[in-house]
Amino acid sequence: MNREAAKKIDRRRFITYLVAAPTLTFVTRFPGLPRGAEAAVSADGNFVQMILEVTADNRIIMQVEREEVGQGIATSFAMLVAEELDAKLDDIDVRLAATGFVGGSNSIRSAWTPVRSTAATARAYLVTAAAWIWNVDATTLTTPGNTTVFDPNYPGGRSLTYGQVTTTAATLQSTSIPAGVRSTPKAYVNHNVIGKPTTQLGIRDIVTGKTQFTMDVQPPNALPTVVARPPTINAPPTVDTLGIRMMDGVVAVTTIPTGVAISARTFHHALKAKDALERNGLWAPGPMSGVSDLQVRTGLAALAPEEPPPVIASGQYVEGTFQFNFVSHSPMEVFDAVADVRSNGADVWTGTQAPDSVKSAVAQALGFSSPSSVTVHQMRAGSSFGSRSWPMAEVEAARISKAIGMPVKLMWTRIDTVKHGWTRPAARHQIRASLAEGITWYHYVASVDLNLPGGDFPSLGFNLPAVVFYLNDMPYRVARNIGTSSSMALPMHNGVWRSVHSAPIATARELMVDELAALANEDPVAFRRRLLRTTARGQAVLDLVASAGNWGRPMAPGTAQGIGYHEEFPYNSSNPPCCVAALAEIDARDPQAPRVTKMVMAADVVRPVNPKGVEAQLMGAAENGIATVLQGGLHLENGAFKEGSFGAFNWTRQRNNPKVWEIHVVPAQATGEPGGVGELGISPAAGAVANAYARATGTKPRNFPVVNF
Amino acid sequence: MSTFNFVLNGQPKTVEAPDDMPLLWVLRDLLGLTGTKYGCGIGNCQVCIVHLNGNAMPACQILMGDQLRGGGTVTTIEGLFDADGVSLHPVQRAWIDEDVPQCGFCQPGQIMAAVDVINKKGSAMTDDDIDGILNICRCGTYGRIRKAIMRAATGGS
Repeated sequence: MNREAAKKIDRRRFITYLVAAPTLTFVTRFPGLPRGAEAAVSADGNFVQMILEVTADNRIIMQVEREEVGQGIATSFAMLVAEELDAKLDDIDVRLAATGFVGGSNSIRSAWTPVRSTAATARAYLVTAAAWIWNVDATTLTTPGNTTVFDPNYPGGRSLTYGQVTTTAATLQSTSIPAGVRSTPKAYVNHNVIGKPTTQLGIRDIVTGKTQFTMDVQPPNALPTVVARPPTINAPPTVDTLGIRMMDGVVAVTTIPTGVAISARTFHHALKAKDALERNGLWAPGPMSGVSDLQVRTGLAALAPEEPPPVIASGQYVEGTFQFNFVSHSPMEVFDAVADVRSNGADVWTGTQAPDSVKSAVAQALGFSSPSSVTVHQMRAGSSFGSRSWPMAEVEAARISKAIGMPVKLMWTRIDTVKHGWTRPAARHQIRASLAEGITWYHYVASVDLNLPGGDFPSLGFNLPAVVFYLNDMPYRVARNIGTSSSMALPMHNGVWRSVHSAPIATARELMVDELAALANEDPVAFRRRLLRTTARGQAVLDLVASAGNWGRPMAPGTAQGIGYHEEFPYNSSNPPCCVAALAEIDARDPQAPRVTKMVMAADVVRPVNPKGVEAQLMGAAENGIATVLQGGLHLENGAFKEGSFGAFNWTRQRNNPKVWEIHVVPAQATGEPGGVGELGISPAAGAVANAYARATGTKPRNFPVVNF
Repeated sequence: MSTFNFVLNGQPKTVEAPDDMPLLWVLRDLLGLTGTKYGCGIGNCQVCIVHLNGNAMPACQILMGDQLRGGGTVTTIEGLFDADGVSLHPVQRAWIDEDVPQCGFCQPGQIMAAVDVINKKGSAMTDDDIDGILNICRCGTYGRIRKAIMRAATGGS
């Protein structure tokens, strides 16, 4: 397929073909990028490829171009296949392939129809093959759910396993499938697997420490390697390295554009040399030198239009200016990559959301003419939150391996992951909302660019402006909704952080909704309920958290409840939006040490594939909301972030999280496809926590995090 | 370089290592035991928790010369079993029952920390005891971790 033809395919269309193979094997290609991200990856990366194979030993192998970062897609994908192939989850091996792009809560949404259709087609081939072997009418055969085809009309019944018929099935043509054999996905009412709470695949390996991440692979002779980095962001590595070359255990020292790479016998030896060089080296200032929070905040304020558009009535309005600090992505597994570069090709082990970008970037860094010279071995990633959307460690590892002629295991330190890694950009929001004329709503966002301007790492290629995150299309019915945004460039690493601009937008919006409700003398829940655009489903989740959370119960001084509501991916497709509500209870008797004591959430995601997985995503997202609203943020000082650990960054621990969680996943609607879930829960939770803090402290929170802004 | 003799996951072990080498890198780089993960290297995130002489400690803060010169007993996630020495430990089973992990990276450390607290508090475990566990979970599955610890502590279902 050429690129032009590919571009014209919308997200609902896909191509499936049978592969000439000894056993039944289908390939399906479907559009897999979130809206607006097409420019970020190569033409090939616009498509997700899935290979579905039924092996002779009765296993189902699903190779899918999506990365598992803890969001549970491997399990959900297996559930789609198990449903349509009438198999058990244990019968399916899910393998993550090294292409495709993960982002925008898009994995299940894009895969829903293609994956189920392919599995349903495979089932039809298997049934037809069994009918040929038995010489019976294929429409009389069944697949009872244990990877067998069953013939109920034979005396006493008889069975063939999928493995026994797969070679015959592989020889069939699509025209061989009798009209009466179903080859399309099941009607929703017949779902036995989809929608059932399911424990994740591979959990036993996780709890026994057997699950392998990138730093756990050990190609022969791969040298533990770290990079000594400059004190300020993107500064050049102009430092004398002579002093560390003779240090114990150091094998090679090589300068790359981002720092000085030290390869050693163990990470202990490499880290000691890195520490020595960072402490004692004379490092040059970088392009961010002289830039601190003050300059960023002043710059963002200067971007704002002088006056918001006049609201219709005078007097009856609320307004606020909200500031959000930089937030580190800081995935639990630091940035890392293993690279083995030879003259004619390279192997790279990494957990990445964008393997195609890795191939291109590594090929370019190595001077290879084609990305196909680079093989990416996709690893499970120790979380991401958007930070593994672009190559970083992969490019560095490849450069180092080429320079020293050895395979390397490159590991960033935690300090570097915070100080030199990806961040959610600082932003400044202005809202003015008037009660007059059926509510007029003005929301302006100034942020630091999401784009990555140059450096040694490839750029995203486009800036994601805040306005595309439904700034002028909010979930409440208002007469006028004016939303605009602008951004300023800084030579640093801002990237898509789970939900991107949505959570700050919702934090500011939900605070303003509460203040507007107070102006109208209405209860915050009742006020929202009256204004919801998605009436029945939205009201249902709002009512659910209000009732389950005992909204309005008396609370002691310094403690309070707060409500938040959000919809995601609304109004731009035929599928209904996801509706989600949160009710937080907070203890802010010490306003400098607030703690969310209880979190109640309810989400209607239209059609949950794995309710347990949805619940997990909501819980994690809510924690992200709690952390960023109350306590976790970075401070820029003279071109460097002051923070270099989870402790300094003030990320939440068990003692900062609710003791009581109650999460309701609404059962599937009669119609409609699954909505995106990965980013959904941050916004309502952030809004609820901010509102709870406001009510508990009697303040109007404007700067985030509220502690140590 | 010194020679260290200690008991690792029930087996006698001898390694040659610098005195200032943290146990974390002895485990990962010298012994090839990768269940214990690197998270920060400064004892802050607690992802590399192991048991040293029966107490939870971040392996990045256990320097061989300081802590293991005269021997010692180290248990890592690879050495965690139920009393029969074969089956999953009750905390691991509780982790599966509550479907705790998300990305999974911090979970060996979370489990080793939980086992330590349960060993000390048993069924008298309180929410405040769980609050004392400082392990970072960046995915934020804290609610399920709490439920799994309570389940294992009380032997409940």
